[in-house]
Amino acid sequence: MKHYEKQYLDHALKNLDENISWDSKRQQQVRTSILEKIDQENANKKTTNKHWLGKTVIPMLALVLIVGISSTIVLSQISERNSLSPEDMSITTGDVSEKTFPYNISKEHQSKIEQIKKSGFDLRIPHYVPINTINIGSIVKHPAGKGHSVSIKYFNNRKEAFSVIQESIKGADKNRINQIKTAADDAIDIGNRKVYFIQKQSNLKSILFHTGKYGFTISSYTLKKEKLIKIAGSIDISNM
Amino acid sequence: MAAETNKQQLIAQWYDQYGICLYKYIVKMINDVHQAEDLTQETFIKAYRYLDLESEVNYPKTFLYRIAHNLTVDHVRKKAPIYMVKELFSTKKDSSQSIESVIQIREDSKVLYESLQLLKPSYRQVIILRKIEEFSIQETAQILNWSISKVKSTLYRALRALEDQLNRRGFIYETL
Repeated sequence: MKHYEKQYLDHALKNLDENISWDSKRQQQVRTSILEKIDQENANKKTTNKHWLGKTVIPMLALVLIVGISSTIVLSQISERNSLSPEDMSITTGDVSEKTFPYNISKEHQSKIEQIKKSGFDLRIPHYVPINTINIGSIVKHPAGKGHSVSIKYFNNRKEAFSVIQESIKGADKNRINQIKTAADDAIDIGNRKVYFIQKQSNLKSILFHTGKYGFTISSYTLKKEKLIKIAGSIDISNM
Repeated sequence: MAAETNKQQLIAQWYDQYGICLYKYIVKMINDVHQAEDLTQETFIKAYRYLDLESEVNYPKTFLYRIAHNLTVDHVRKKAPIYMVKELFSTKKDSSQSIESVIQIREDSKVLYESLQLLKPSYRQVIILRKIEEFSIQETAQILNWSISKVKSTLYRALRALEDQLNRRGFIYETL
């Protein structure tokens, strides 16, 4: 390329921009649009942009609260599941938290218990029921052999949850106790007493144990073996 | 609040100073006047966002051209297949009319403008920045994110390619 051609091309390129024009109205439109968009961005920022405290501390606190609440709920559900079997649930419609004796015992049942005790029968009742909607439904004392037995039925919403039978033991009954020991499915030590578990084909589960004077039988179709053991363990057998 | 207003004012000031140059640069790069307006707008909004991060800008012109260059390159990359198909099915007359509806190119610059469009993007970029916008080699290297030697060698090859195009189109070199 000749020198003057190169010079001319350089000159033509420099002037190319001068030969291109842009409509001033459109220039102004673009300018306005840019400033509007910036305004809009600032407005959006104001709603979302907060102090660092709001950006970091508040979300963290919220997170801690959420984690705390959810873990509490999860843990409480787990503990409830551990304490309540599906069977327990099937017999409850209300609050499932455990409660210890004395539970709601009606005046009528209270006077019946006192009457039995006055008659010389050292009645002991469980200090534990697995569901707090369970209450005493009936207390019946009747002669059994040479002694007496007291049957207490515990109800949950008009359905029998379990029963406790306490009977006095006389000399002849000791053979029956030995038969029970050999027929038992399982023998478990609870503190100072040994209890025997028997489950019949009819799904009736029973826990049996005895002191020197009385024999106890806790039976249920619905409660689990562990709950029955816990009920048995809650009966105070001191000085018996 | 005051800082935001200052930044906004600075952007307005930069637009008044460099807006037309940037627009023309983008038009020359993409040959699409409407898209060039959008990309010009986007250039200044990106510049504002950058300022918003409280970053200092010592050379606003180079800074703005660099943003415009990046946006243009992105646009060319994204639109390349569509552009090729459009070119295939559209006539040159239609394309020229659309540009002239917004910008006015004088007849004597048309051949040069069109020849520039036929070059590959990297050649077009380096010629526009060095020969039309008259940036120094260092500034051009900064805008294109190239080395200085790459700017020099590419410019040499780009000018050769442009001369070829002009000769083919019968461009008349007049004496100055």
